[in-house]
Amino acid sequence: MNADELIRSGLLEAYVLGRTSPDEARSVERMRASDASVRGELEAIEAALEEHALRSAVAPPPAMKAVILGKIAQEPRKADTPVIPISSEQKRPFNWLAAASIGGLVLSGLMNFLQYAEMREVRTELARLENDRSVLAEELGVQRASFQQSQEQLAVVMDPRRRTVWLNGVGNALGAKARIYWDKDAQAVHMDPMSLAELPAGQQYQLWALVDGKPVDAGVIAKGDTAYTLQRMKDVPNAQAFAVTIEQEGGSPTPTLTAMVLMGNV
Amino acid sequence: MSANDAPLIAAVQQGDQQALATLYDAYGAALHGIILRVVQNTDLAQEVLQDTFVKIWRNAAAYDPSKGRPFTWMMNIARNTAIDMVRSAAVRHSTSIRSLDDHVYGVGHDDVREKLDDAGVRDVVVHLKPEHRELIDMAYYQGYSQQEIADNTGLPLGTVKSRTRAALLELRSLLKDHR
Repeated sequence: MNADELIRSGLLEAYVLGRTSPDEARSVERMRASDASVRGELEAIEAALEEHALRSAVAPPPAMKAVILGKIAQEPRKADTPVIPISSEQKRPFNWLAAASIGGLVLSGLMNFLQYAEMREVRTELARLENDRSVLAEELGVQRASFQQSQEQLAVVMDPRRRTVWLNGVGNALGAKARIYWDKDAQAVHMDPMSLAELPAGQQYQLWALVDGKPVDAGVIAKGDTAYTLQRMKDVPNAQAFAVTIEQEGGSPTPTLTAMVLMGNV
Repeated sequence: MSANDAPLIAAVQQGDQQALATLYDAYGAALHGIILRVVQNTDLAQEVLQDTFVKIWRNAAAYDPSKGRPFTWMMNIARNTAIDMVRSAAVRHSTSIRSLDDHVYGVGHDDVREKLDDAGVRDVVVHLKPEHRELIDMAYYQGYSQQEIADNTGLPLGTVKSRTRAALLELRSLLKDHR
């Protein structure tokens, strides 16, 4: 069937009215695509039917439009039922909110890590400073005690009421020296051992006051760290001379005169 | 006029209710006229008109511009919906489909006749030759295929085809003359 025969056949009219078989429809569509006259004829038929319909229009009730639009509005929204591709690689729309929250999480984690590292550093520094502080406090305590001792010693030494009694080495200890600061009113005796030789274990220096020719115990001289510092001895109310002997550790009730190392008259 | 309707159909396809409202304003009455002539009943016609626009809304994606202008697509939705309504109504009433002789153009309820008479002032179909008018009625308003028309009228299929074409040509000519 050529174009003219098709146009004259009445098949185009049937096609426009949707009353052709699938085979007939296919042949019409084939000719429409290839032949301008068929195309023109179909357009003329369509235009005629449209114009006819518009001219013979019958207005529906005015409320009909609202009824129809109301029905449409109740239809499921087309955006809610998208065509889902069967492909396994289903492209999801990029979720900015999720991306932002993940980004925020990563940033927050980084900040946490940095803050943790910084905090650990601060803690270490704090511990170091605390240690330094305790060392300094301890040192301060030592210095303060040392200062206090020095002050006390200075006070003893500078006290105008005290008399200074020099003790000089005798026998094997010839050349050795020591000092006694004696407050006769308060009976207080302080001793500065100065350069007495260190004694082996089991022995200790002991100070004696000679009162009316008799030796009176005035206490042992400290050993160890405080051996050479000014130290308070036993109170002595009255004496003409002082002497130091080497005794057993802890001192003796009576002096061992053969072991006398220092002697000095008041 | 109809060339501009393809974007409207596309908008309807996207879910644009305003586009459907525009289509209704442009073609609601024309489609209602067709439907009324098919179903011959005012209430049924309104029901069919609603169904027609719901179908246009739902099936806008199915419209293929290469197969015809938008109005032709909508017209056939309206016609098919109306024809289906008439046939299912006939089945419901357990009566056979009204004979073609009884169901000629213009025959129906009085209110329908009145409406169509009002429209008829502008309807050139009344000026068609009677045999052409009958063919238009059967093919256009009752949805019969050419074979069915041939079977029902006893005319040879070739005659039905050529007469359908002649009827449409006369319609086109009348539309031109009454412009």
